[in-house]
Amino acid sequence: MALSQKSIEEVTASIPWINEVHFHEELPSTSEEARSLARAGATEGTVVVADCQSGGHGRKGRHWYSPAGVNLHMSVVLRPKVMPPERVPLITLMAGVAVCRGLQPLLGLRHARLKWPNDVQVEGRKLAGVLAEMSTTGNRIDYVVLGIGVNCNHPAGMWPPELAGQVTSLYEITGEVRPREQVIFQVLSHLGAAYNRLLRGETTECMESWKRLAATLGQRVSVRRGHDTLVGIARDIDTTGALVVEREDGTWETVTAGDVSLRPAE
Amino acid sequence: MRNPPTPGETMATEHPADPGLTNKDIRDLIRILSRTDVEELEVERSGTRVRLRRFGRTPPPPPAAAAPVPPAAAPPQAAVPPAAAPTEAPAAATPPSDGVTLGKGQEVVTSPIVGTFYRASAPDTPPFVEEGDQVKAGQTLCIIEAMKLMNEVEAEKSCRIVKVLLEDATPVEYGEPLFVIEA
Repeated sequence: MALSQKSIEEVTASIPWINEVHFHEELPSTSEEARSLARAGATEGTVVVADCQSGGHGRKGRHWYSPAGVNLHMSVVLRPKVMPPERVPLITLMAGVAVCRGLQPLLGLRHARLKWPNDVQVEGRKLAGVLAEMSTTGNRIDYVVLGIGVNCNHPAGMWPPELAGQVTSLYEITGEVRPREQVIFQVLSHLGAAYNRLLRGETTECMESWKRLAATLGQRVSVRRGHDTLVGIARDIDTTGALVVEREDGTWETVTAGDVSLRPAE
Repeated sequence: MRNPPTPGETMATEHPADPGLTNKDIRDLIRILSRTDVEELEVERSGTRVRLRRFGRTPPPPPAAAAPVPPAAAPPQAAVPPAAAPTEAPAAATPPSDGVTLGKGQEVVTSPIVGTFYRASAPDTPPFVEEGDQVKAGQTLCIIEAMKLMNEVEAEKSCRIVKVLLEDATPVEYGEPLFVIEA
């Protein structure tokens, strides 16, 4: 089922905060395109979708596998003008919650969960990811671009070797091929609602929603950072969304960036 | 951080290695303070005393929005005298400048959020800027990452990078100095 400008506009027409849709068969990266549109003045609610990406990336420039015809690669421009920059990182937790909730009705009896800060997983395998990029001048936020990747109709057993066993898709989970437009509608509807709550200052609600869906809290984790690895038990998130980890010696540390993996108890 | 010994004072005490309060201690205290509602905190160790006090806070948020509000007033480059004064140190309401001394016409670029400082977009790519580089307004200087939000910090004006103050992948606080620049 081929995505098109028209088919995406049809499903987003009923989502009031979506202002503009830009569909491309192929782009280097939907987030790069969205940032370039944002720099040129694109309004909040501008959406970029590509059928495939030649240079899709995740954290720290890592390649994001973006083949044609099966998955969703989408970026959205936000302009949270009233939000103090130090609260903006909560947007990425909020986005994780929205994607998780949006995909849940498509998953049957299987549950989507969040790995800190916003990977959507089903039974430990990654179904979707969110990467946010923000531009600020001094204390003013120019824009935030949310890049969202969802593994939709990718067949099981056909993943590249480096991803096999770590990722899954809606098709792999349910055996049903879904129109990607349906996934776009689900994600953007939930994203709009969650973003509005955050703009109204309902940060506690955002954090509580995240905690209810969290696969990470209470688990033994290792957090790979720039120069070291922190091992302990993930206890909580703080008011900025940072992960609070209790080390084996009983001391606590908050983490703002790193690769979290769950470790079975030894 | 330790005061130099006065003539005749012996360093060989029971705790010869106790440095009093280090820069890191003070940074940790600020981090703790910024995540609570405590207005003022005074700590003394080995003759070094530091008092931290918030000011310029916006009105307290409603309980439903209890995110910490870092001090909004006073740009961090406002002179923060060395915090190692033997008696009461000046209120460190802004993050410590960690001994950043600025020459004439120089200023610091500070972090807009709490996060992790990266000098490059990926581990195997060259840094955005090196010391001595001349940069244009709008050019990316570094990335601060928090919760997978990548914040590109851009130069607000054309300038020269005098000093890069932090190592790659270092945790940073709100308002912490990242670069010394000059026009």
